[in-house]
Amino acid sequence: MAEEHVIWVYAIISVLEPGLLDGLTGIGGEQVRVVTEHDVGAVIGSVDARMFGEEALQQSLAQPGELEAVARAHHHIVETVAAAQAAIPARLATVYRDETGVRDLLAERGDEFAGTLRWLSSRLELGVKVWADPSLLAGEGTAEQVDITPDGGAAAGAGTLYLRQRRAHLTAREAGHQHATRLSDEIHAMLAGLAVSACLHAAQDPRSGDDHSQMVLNGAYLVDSARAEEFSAAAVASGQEGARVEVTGPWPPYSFADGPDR
Amino acid sequence: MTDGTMTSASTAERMPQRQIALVDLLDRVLAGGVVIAGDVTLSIAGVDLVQISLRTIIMSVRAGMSPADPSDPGIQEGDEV
Repeated sequence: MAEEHVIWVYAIISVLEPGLLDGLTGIGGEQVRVVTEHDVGAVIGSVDARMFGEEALQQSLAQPGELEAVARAHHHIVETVAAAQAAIPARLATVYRDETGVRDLLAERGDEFAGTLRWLSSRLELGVKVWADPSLLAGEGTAEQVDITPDGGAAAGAGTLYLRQRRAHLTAREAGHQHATRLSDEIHAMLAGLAVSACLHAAQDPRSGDDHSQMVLNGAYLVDSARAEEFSAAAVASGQEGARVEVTGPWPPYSFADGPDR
Repeated sequence: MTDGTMTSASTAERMPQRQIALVDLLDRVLAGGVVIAGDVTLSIAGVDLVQISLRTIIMSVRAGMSPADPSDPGIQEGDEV
């Protein structure tokens, strides 16, 4: 087995809910199982080393289709486990050569994991993304006012007029950006106040095509499960003209896997 | 928005059956999750690999969403996980 399989780690848990993993198959179609050491367990699967060994993964994860398949399969296990009990998601592509390595890990960092699991218990992660259109936020419709006379009818003034309008446009745009930044700071601070912990992910790419919106906030929030509805409602209510709020989740606590002291 | 993600208008619905957005998932599985050292082949050494993969996947996802957008600024600074 050691020659042919490697161990994929999905999550760290405490005592497993009975039956939770029955019939649950992982990234390689394998039956997912748990190894336990000192009351802390790792949800793992034995997967084909030819597909999920280091070399193979380096190649396959560089393929968008395969990365997506692995990410979704990994997430499926993590989500199933985290929906039933406190779980620390493992980062994608955490691979051990054998079970001994996983047991050593649990023995070594068991106390830390137990502390993080207590902290995560009865909590979930919600994502909040805010897309802002600075030109709308500025409130003056300034972008639309820049309407350069195409034929230069007033020849003498056209260049000056252009420059003036261009400057006004840029100023308005700058104001819009500042407004967007301020708004995202405010929303983040408000949401962080409702959360146990908060962190920021890098902004995702601008939306293609349909509008001028930019992502000005890509936040993750660890929320008491009992307050999840309240949190989501507050997030939605923070949207306004020119700023669209999107709530995602609940997620397993991927963004808070390092515990309270990170 | 037409891409099926939850918006202000529909946020009361909780995580429907529909597939979650890949970019949101990648934010989390690539940048989040506990990083475990030890007898690991990939999770530490693979950080660079993962960033490269993320760029690749985002470009491909975007290509699928918007086949022709000449003003597309592409991947920008700060997009790394």
